[in-house]
Amino acid sequence: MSTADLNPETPHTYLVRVGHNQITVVCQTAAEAIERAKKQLRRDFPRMWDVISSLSESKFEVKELD
Amino acid sequence: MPITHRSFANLPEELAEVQVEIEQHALDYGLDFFPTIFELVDVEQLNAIAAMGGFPTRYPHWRFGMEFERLSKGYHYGLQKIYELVINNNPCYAYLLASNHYADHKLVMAHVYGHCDFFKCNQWFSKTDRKMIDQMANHGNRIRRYMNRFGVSEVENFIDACLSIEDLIDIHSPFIQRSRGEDRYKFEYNTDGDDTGQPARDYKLPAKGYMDNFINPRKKPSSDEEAPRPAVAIPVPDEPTKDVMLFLLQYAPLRPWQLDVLSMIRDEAYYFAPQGQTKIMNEGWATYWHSTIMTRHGLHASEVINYADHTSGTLASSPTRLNPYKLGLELLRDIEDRWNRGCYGQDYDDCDDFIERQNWNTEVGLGRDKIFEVRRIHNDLTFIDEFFTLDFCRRYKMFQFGYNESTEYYEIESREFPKVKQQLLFSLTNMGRPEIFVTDGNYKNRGELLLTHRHHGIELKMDYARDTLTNLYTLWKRPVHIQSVLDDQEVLLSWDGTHHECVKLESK
Repeated sequence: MSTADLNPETPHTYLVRVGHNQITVVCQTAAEAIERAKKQLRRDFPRMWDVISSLSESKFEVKELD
Repeated sequence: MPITHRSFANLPEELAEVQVEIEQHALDYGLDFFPTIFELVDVEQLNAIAAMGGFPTRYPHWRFGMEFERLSKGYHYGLQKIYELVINNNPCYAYLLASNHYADHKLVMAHVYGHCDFFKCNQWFSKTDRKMIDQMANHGNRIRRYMNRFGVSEVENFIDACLSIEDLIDIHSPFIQRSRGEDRYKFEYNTDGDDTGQPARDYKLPAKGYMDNFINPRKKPSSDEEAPRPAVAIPVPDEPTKDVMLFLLQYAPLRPWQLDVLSMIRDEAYYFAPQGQTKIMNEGWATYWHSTIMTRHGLHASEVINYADHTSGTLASSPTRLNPYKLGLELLRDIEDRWNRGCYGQDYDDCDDFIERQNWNTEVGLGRDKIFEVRRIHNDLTFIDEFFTLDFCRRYKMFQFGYNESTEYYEIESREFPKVKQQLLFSLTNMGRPEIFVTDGNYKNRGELLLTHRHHGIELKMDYARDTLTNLYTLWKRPVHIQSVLDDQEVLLSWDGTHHECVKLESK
């Protein structure tokens, strides 16, 4: 167990992959990372807004980089 | 929602399967359409149907043949090709070109479902006759009957005169009661006295127009019945009347068959009017949905290049003309994006910071709902007025252009947003045609007809104006005039049956 996990205020860097895309986000938890990735993807691919919003969490692969 | 009247009668099995698949995708996205029947036709058949405005059976007229020749030559010279044709009817009929690739058929079907949804759900189509395919065939029968009786040339010449004024209708009148209908409390006959002084009204069973002759058979026509109706005092309209065809129907001294033909041409003009009013939106909506369905579900890897080639051709922008497919599609996508990110409302409008506006995102996700709402209530004019924004104009590098007489070239006149938008709105107001009203049916107290052209920047084309006056004289049988503006000077154009005249009017 790292000290980062003990302190919820410490941000983590996550690599979130979905399909052919991957995004690096800095946040507290893996669930939050997926939410942020979705937000960024919706911004990058506005025509896929509804598809990205409806993707289940299981479609995302989250890897902690710290 | 089950589609109950599907017919695959003319579709090969693999295309029938495609129809089921595409239709299901369209339903899943919330499109709402009439049952849709696809027909597979060859290029000659498609050109013949397209020449007749999409209807396989219409009245005979030379212009349909001429249009067929134009379309056929265009196709055989490789200048143009009609991929699909769909008509606003219940059920919707759509025609597929047999020589298209398999991927094109899928694309066209997805595109057609977009159109069918638009026909059914857009308010501007709500008053159109949904059985128009039958109505057109009825019109054909009636006009053929008149041709047999009165001669082809006479009827065709009369149709020519009616067609030259077919756009002089009031496209908003289906939604507005312009004048009070017949007074329900005004008794025409004295029901108390023995002698009414007027002939008793014939008893007639209620019947639709095309069945009327059978349900209420007429006496053998006498020469009186085919005579023009007697002259009546023609009222000066209280307000200028935009529906010139209706005014003629009410007051022109025409014979019964002529009135019937004029009313048919008018009905058809009203049927086609919403298609002119919603060209940008309708094509944009259909393209939006074929693009969404094809890129997400319909395309196989082997079809991507063909699809991209076809789509790039459809959406290509030209420096000299507006592409309704492109403008409609991009505006709808822009609206969807803005309403997904919450880029609307007072806060957004008040924001002056360019970067903040670029990154604006409230994650409201209302884009899809918004475009469905837009498709329900807008026409091209209100669509552009409401959603054509400065940001959009800049992003797509739109410009206003005009003819420079000194260089003899069309040139970019301005990239200023207000001017660009103004020109767009001008071109869409009254479908880009001059606004003409009947202002006096008893001009000079001599039963002459006076029209007025409300000048909003679109001048009359003089050759068209002269020919139209000549045709109007055929219908009105008395001299006709139109008041207009020519080179900033008020003028009165007249045709008295022998001479054209153009008189400058005194400034008021």
